[in-house]
Amino acid sequence: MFTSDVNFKRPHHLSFAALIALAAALLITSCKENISTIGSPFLQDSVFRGANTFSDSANIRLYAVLKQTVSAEGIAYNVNYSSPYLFLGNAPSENMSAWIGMKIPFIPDSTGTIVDDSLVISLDSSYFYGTNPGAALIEFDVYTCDHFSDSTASLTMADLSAVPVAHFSQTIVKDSQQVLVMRLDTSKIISALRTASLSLILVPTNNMTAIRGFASLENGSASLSPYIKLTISSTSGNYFTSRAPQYDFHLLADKSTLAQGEFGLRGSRALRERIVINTKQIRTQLGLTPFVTINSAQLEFVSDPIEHTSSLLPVDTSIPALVYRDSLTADSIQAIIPGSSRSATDVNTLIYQIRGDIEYAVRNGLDSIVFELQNGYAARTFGTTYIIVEDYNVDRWAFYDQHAADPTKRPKLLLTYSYLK
Amino acid sequence: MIAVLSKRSFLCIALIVIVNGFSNTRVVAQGSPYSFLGFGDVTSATNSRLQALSGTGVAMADGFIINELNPAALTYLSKTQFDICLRYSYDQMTLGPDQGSNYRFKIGGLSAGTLVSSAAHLGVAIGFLPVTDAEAKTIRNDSLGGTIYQREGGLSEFYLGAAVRPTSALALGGRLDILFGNVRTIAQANITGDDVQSGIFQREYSESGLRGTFGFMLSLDSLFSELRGLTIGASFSTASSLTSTQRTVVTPINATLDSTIENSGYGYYPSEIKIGLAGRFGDRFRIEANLSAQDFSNAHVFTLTKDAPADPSLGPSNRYSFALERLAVPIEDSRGVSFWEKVGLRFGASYMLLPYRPAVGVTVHQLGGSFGLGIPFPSGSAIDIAAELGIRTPSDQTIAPKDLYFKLGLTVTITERWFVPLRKTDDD
Repeated sequence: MFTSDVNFKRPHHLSFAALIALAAALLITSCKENISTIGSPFLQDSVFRGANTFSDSANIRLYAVLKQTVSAEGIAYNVNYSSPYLFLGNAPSENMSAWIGMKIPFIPDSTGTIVDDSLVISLDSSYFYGTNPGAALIEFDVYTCDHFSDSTASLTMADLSAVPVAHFSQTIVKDSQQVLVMRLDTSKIISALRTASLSLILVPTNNMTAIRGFASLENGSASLSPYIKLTISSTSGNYFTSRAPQYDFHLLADKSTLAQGEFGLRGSRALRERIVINTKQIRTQLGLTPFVTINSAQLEFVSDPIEHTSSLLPVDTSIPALVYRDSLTADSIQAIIPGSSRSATDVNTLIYQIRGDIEYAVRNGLDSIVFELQNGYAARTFGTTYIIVEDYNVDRWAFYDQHAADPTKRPKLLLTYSYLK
Repeated sequence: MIAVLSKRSFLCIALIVIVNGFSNTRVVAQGSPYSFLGFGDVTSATNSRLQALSGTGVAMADGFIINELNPAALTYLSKTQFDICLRYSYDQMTLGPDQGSNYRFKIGGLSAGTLVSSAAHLGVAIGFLPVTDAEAKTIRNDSLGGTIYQREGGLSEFYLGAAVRPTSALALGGRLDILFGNVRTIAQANITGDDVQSGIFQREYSESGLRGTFGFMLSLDSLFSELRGLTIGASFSTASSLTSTQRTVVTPINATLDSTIENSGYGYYPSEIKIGLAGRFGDRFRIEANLSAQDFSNAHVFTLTKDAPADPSLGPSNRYSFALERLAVPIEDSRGVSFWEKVGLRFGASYMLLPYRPAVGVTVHQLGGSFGLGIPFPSGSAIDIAAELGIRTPSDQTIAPKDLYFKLGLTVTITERWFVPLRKTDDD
């Protein structure tokens, strides 16, 4: 009955129905949406949003911190351990002096008779820190020290040998790549070379009025690393051998002062500022529930451009890093916030976005969270531990603190938040 | 042959509409601004035939429809049929100088019904229907930026109904409605400024409960012969105490802190009564008037305690509707009849006091008209199309918006004859 006697003429009503369908499709797709505020008064589940600025000491407290060692996996490292640079020189305007220390390896008797020795260091061509770019004189003395270790944080002249074992003086202009060789007084150190306690300390003279950079053991190129060149006497004649230091680093003596109401950061000096944000107080003050969303939490610092000094060529990060530390164990680093930005309206304002940390603190009911502001940083991995190696540049940042005369320049936290009522 | 061609055409048209519809569901789903209140808009009718009659049909004793308004009508089912309903609506709202427009596209419902016993006139149906539409979108601005709110979902029901005719004049029916659904509001708080992230929040109310719907239809000529052609019908849906769960989904900036906060509570959906009177004139014309009432004064989507005060933004609602219908020509009588003579034509009008009380002493009234076509196919299947136009006017237009709405509905009905083999085999 439904077979081949087919009339394929399309009935009129089918065409009509198809027309209606197409017209409806066109109508539907032609309607446009225009979201308006109409209906918003009827909302029963609405979002509350707020914006507050915190600057008073009840919510934010700042503490100056000086810490010259880093503890990682139970080992104490000097502040600039693993630095590719060693700094040597003076910055008289800042009352600052940088020394270099090297631990010399033990030279056994089997090495033979040492008849001559020299210290060889490589100058980094471009690094230069000082107010007078023409101060090209490199002049320093080399002393010995018998109690220098990898956790040494400070040295004074009293710790060094009474007389230097070498002296170096040469004018080397900036941007010159040069290897410095100084002959050591073998008679004074020959016996110490046979012990495990010999260290060489390079101390700039007052004539050196700039700080220059030298390649360290960690500079990345073995040919630039410092070493001691030994001349050994044997039955077949003299021959040369070289020994790299066990470790090296520089130490910084910073006696500069800042105006009242400011705090300073100096990486190599390990001069930091600890910021404690009282999240309990903020939570109580704003009536926040643990389920608030922090849309933005900007921690702002205003720097004093007059007190800011930097090398002609930064050796690493040129903007201070903010480090988040656990509030209970202040030495455990939880996060690093290097991504600061400068305000578009004021280049001297540094902004750190810490919304994730504030949100975490509010959600978990933490009483406070602790940050540290550090001048520059270098992230390193020791085993499975991710740490910040203390900064090894000598640049100085000066920021207004909570006692600054101008309230607008004090550190502040700008908080924007929202939650479902 | 005609059947073959019709099925293909039917499929083709249905496919165009359905595909077009689904493609729009991806875009947006929102509706009247009043849908932010309570359970949202009460769906007066999902079947396009009923929609074209402005929701009138409580006294419709017709074998070609799975009547959702009165379960007693299931006894009149003459064949097995399957309905799928699609709905589209467009709202244009005005409040002072502010204007907005929203549109949405949804599946209106799915129903299947059949006559189980001709002797007892036992008809049964099963299906899924939307009960309310809680879909709306708006934006709230303040000094920090704009927050976009989108309400989605609504209350739905899965039902199982049956009806019998103990006498030729009286039809009795009942239906078990399993109420379920989610009403959720998603908010995106956008904050102006640099390096600021939006906040995303979601609060949803998950509802579940049971209610019974009972109905009857009575041919009045069984009482008085002078009332020939008149039918009275009524249905009553019981109130339902709902199990309501509030979930707040917090999606903070720090993804590891995502969390859901859940609170168990109570909801309440009110009872509803519908009464209809229908008259039939000649073979093809019928008219009907309906009255329905539902008191939302005690309704609430969620409360933590059973004794919590009712939602003050809701109140009593009633609805009056009137419809005129020219029935489609039965398939067996349709040969040689022109298209316009063959199709069913429907007109309706309604007035409704909506359950919304947007402010103290403010009521919202709805006035609407409707039109529709019923296109029968030789296979016995049909496509019903409905269009509605209406306006919602608050008693105080400085507080609540005026809402002009336009709705389209389409119901595709596939009957048992669809399943007749296309080709006769040699054995037949």
